[in-house]
Amino acid sequence: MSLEEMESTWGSQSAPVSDTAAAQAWIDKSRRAVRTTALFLLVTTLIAVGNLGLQLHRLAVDPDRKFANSYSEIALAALGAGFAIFGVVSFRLGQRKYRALMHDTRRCLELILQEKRTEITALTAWVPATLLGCLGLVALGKLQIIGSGLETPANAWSGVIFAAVFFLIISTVLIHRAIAFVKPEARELETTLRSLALD
Amino acid sequence: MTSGSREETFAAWLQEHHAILHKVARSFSAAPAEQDELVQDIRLALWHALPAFDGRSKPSSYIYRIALNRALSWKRHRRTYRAKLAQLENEPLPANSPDPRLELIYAEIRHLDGVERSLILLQLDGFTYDEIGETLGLSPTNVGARLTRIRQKLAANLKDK
Repeated sequence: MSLEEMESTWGSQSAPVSDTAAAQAWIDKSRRAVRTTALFLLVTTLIAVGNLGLQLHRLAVDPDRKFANSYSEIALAALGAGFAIFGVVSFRLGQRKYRALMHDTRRCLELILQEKRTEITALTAWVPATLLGCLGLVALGKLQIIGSGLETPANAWSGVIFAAVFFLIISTVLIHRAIAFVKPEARELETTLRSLALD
Repeated sequence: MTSGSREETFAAWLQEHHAILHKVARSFSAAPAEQDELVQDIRLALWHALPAFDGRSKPSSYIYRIALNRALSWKRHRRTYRAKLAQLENEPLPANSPDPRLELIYAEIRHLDGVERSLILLQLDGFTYDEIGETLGLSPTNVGARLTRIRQKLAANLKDK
């Protein structure tokens, strides 16, 4: 086949019939899904952040509450708020990808790559650091409990180890996601960008 | 852009230019199910991108831009799945293919890398070097040089077919 034949064959191809109504219905469904997700995330974040604020407020105003007897509630509330905020950030990043598509291909790929790098940093550094912070809270609480003699050191440290294993599993899953999925995507984007930069 | 006019424009664009979506999807995947999925993704991206259209370029050029950008980033999410499909892609064309010559052209386009696919698609659909450069973020000279190489590659691959 010559290039001329290729061009004439290309020009003579018939397009499939466009079902605009079905496309519009699908768009409407997607919009509803996005709105529902946004609403869910908003409510969850408000509850989680409100709960964290409440726990801290109770600690500040209630003389019977010490860090030692409320650390678990604070750690759980902090964890909940952390995950809710992570969900909101992920949702916003998901929406931003559409804005990137409006630019020319080079700029679009640069923006998507930038987002991928942010995601890698979040998965490998920020989330594990937040979890480490929660673990620190648990450890501090347990130290206070040991100090006040409410729990034996063996019991207290087993709780800390349990929390550490839990946080380690979550961090491992996230780091695995970054290494196995997000980093290869970023590398492929870099390759495409390099091929665009070649003269 | 009001909600009503956005929907009208979207419907009109789909009616007039839906072939672009199918051409891009077919150039980026051989599997019909994947093509359908990509077409849906491009439609959604187009819907989101519609309010930002400022009329400085042709609608077809803007649709191509959104479609190619989506296809280039969409492919990455299906890398593993695509690897499994690579074997299927290399299999001979089915005897009852509606247009074997067109299938052959798409198969050859799919052998090019993402940027090359984008370039040849735009050229086959009659866009100028300036328009192609604006869509992809390349200079017109660069577009010309690249297209010469791609056409040589395609000519060599299609020679005995």
